[in-house]
Amino acid sequence: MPLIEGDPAPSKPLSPSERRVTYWFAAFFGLCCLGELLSGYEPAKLTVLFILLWWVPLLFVHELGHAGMAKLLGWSVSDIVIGFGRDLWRFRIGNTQVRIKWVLMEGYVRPVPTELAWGRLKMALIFGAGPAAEAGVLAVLFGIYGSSVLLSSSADIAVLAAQSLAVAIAISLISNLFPRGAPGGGVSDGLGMLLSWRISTEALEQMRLRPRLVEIARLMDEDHGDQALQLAEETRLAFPDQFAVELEYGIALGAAGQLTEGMVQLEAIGPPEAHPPATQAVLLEAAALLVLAADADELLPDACDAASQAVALMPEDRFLALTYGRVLFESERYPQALRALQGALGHLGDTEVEGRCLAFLAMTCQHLGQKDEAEAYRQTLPGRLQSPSLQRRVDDLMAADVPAEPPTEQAG
Amino acid sequence: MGHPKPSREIEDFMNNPYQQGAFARPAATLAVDARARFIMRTYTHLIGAIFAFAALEVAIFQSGLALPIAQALSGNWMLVFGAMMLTGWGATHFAQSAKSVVAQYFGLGMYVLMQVIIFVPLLYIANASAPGAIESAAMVTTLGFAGLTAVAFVTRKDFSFLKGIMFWGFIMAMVAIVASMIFGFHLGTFFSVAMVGLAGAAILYDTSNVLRHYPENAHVAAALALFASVAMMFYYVLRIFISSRD
Repeated sequence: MPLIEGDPAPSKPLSPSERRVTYWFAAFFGLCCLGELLSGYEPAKLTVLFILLWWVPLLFVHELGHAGMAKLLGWSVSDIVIGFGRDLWRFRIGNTQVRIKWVLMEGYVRPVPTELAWGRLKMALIFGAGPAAEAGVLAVLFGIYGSSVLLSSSADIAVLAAQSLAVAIAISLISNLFPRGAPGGGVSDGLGMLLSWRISTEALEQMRLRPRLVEIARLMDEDHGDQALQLAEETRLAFPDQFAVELEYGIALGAAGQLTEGMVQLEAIGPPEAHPPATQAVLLEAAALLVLAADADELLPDACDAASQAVALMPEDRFLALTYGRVLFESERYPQALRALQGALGHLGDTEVEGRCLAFLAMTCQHLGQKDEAEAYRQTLPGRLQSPSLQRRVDDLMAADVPAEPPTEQAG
Repeated sequence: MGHPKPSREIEDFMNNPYQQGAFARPAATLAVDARARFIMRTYTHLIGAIFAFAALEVAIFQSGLALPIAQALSGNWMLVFGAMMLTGWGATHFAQSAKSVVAQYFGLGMYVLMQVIIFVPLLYIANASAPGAIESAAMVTTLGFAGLTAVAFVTRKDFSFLKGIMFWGFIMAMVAIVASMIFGFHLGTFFSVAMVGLAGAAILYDTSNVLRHYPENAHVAAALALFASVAMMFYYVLRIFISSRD
């Protein structure tokens, strides 16, 4: 069943025939639901619909609860993402990027510490604020209707709607407060609150740095290597001795055409073996990214080795898998790239990264002669891929109608 | 005579980090005998789980425990549902454990045991009020499972595209089940038919995963996924048989 953890099937866009089967199945399922509602109709059956409808405004309340608490505590918020799938609406409020997506089922907020004092407590409060906001709605509901009405059976549609809201809140609270991992390497609010008490100063510092690092990566993506390097240098001055900044600085040197300096920079951080596995993996990934950023084709075999070792150290990390897929793609090892990218796509929670993965999948399929799949992947890019240069690369490749690679390697 | 130089493909495989963890190499990419061994193992485990399920149900009914269990569960459906979710989550978590075979078997065992208990009230009602319904439901489920398995094996189609629609179907079904328990309405035949359809899709999906996507060392997890789908189909087919004889 697809709700079982560890589903092995890769996520991929539907072909026209698969889409037709899906529509037929959805129609069958919808008709059964309608039949169930109408056969022996009773108002209580409407509560299923009400619960589903209430979920959407509750999601907004929940995420705004997180964001509001972050602001209240003096932190800033870099992203508010409501829903998943492709972007429906994207806008900025001050420094905050707000993205409303098509599938309004879950969301997340990215707080950015402005200072580190009371960081753990503030993190825990921000995690708790989403469920607390929903609990606040529940309290208001009880205030309006009273427990005698909300907790007793009724055939009144308005009361049933209010009771459904209470049930939707209860479901949301249970699902959010249950300590568990979330897709894309995230955690539920419950687990987040528990882990906040153990979060390191370095991790808080990295959260603080993240918007700058994202911007550096974006500039490198858009081939503005010099600007990326300049921002990396500024960040380095503002945040000295930060591991993540040092890595990004090394990669930015490569993007600015200073490959040797970039390699020296990464080597100065120390040999990978001297670090714990997670850090080793990030270092090895940085080495691979440096080669990609510098367009140093002659070093691609080494980049493949580095990315491969990084994935071996952290096999569950989908972001490393994406880097590995990219390096394999650039090395023209398309069958392996396809498998790595499909593995990465599974649970990439961040849509921007998901968009990049889909773009490389489209190009990989095109090289393998899988034109329909390539086109299907390309169709998924609008609203997901935020990199114009990568979008251009995909479009150019698809327009060029490249001949398929001979099947010298089996997918694996 | 020296060892032949490994081919590029084998070299790639040996260097491939995806042979570990969640990214383990799918059994479908292995040699024919290794693939056949994986499929045999999966279906042997599935049959074993079904026999264990049937044997435990027979033991519960013969020992006289069925009535107290059915009575205890009937009044606490919310608790049962919560326990089912938690146990299901825990069982699949263990069954997906790539490192420990013991943990995988523990997960499968836990899941079978959970299903044994959840089925008791329905089987009790069927036994008492609809004689022959259990046998008929078992027959229909077996035929349905065999037919769908044949479709997946013969067509070789990748049914992983059903993931999205099944995900939403299960979400809706769960909301309907929770709402029916809280608001006290009865989910009738149409709901059961929809769930049989969903279970059928799940069997196609799981079988296609067995043929294409599960890694070689995940036969226990694959058997668990198939068992969950078969159990769900049996549950709702039995419900249809019971309601048709009311």
